[in-house]
Amino acid sequence: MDIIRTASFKVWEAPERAYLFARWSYEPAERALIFVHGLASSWDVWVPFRHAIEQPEMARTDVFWFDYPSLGTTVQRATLRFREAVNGLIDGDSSAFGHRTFPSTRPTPSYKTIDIVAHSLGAVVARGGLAERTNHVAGKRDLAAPPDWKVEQLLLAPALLGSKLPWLMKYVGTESFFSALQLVRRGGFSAIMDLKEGSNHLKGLESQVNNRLGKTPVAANACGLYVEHTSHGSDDHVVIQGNYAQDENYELTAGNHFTIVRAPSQLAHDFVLGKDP
Amino acid sequence: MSEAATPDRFTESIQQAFDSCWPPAAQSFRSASFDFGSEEEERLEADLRLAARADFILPFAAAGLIDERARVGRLPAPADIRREVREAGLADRYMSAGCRIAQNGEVDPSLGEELAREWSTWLSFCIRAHSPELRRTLPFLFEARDAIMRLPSAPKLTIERLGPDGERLISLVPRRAEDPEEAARVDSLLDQCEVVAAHADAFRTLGPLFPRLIATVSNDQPRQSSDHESAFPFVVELWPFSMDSFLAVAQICDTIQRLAKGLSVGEEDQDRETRADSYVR
Repeated sequence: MDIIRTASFKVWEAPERAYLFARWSYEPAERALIFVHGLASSWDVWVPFRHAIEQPEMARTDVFWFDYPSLGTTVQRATLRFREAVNGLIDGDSSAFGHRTFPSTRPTPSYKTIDIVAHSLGAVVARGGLAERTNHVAGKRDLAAPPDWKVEQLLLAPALLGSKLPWLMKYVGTESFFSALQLVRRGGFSAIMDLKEGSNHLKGLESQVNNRLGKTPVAANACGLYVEHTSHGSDDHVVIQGNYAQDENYELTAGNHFTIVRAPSQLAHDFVLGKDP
Repeated sequence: MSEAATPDRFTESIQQAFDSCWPPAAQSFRSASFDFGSEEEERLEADLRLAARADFILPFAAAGLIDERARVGRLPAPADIRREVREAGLADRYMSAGCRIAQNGEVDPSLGEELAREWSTWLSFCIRAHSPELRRTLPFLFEARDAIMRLPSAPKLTIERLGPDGERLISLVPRRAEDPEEAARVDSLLDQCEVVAAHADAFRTLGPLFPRLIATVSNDQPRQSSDHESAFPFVVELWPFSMDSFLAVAQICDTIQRLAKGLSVGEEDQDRETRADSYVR
């Protein structure tokens, strides 16, 4: 077997069960690819990309999965943890680089490209984290020139305009054991509340993003606040349950109650491979 | 006598993955997790470690991806693990795929292609299935099951709070016991249920990815259980521990499903749904 990267290990963790899993490339990496799952999901929603990240052209890409308990936390807290995780990767001071599975033959990476693939709530979390990073690097005045790193995003069915709470509750009630139990125990205290269509949180996030794009465009663009690659439709988009699966990016396994996605769209596939679509 | 390991990326990955579950420096985890007597603790620990070795290594060996007689990093050679599993009678007590492979011997010829393609996914599964977090639930699993099964009929508490837009949100959650010690005990047991549920969720994709392996280790016994339908298919085929613990997990999952049904909202809420337009910038 021609193995270009390690197996997947939990290399960073924060309170509230927020984690970063990594598959390190054995070659020095200049690119970080970060997957951010959505509501009531976990790392397993990205299984369809498992073979793409083994391709030879991915030899200089480290692959990460940001995992968080979407129903056991709020968008704000998930955003905070995502921002911490991403800041460490971009700034080169993440404790993940000291993990025992980081290949000893490699130097600490200095990523030039940080590509984020986010689904549903994950898009809200990622966008919030990147908006806060923009504030961090250009809080008072814009950067004089673009930094030596660049963030790009692929947002799959982003929940940036919110989602339908009743529908989500039904979804939660039938599919996810972990999420459902968290909801039962905590009385619904979760990111669901902030995902309500037109919620103040979502409106505030977009306002913040627009503000940054207007006032600090260099930093905002470096942080990927513009959305260059979105993929969406006009209906609900969920990729892990057959009953509601209408995401055109994915082809679903037929008749499988606990459906997994198996065929990302060409756009998504190219983005993961670092190709310019 | 086993041959020396050939250091390569594959065996290194297996070794690292195993170490993440059973760190070489850790002599024991029992003092922090088990209340059993020392002899029982030691036997359980030995069983769990051996089952983990079997799961991490034997599927790859059976598939012809690693040498049957060569050590895997610091880990024993597959042939030695097979022998140990047989001598310990582990396949009679554990549902682990690795233990069943040690017992059965014969495998589907196309298993090699499947595991070569999905090697990292299998290691990810093993890392989670044999994680200290999950195995630490085992001594408490039946108590945890009993605790959660009392929840559907437990008195409920109405929680009111302000939502993100200042609106009042109301939900019903099981009322905690008034005795602080009892409340803490139940909380701790429900934490165990959360751990089990999180792992069950994490494993739900495995069935379609490992059809050959599942066929190789197929076991009708758990399928005959009335509880197996409530657990995800992976649990039936790949749950690594005892049949009793599998049934407890199935009952925990079934109870969570019943609890979750109470979370559904009414028609009135559905009528208020509006559809979001596409997000286009």
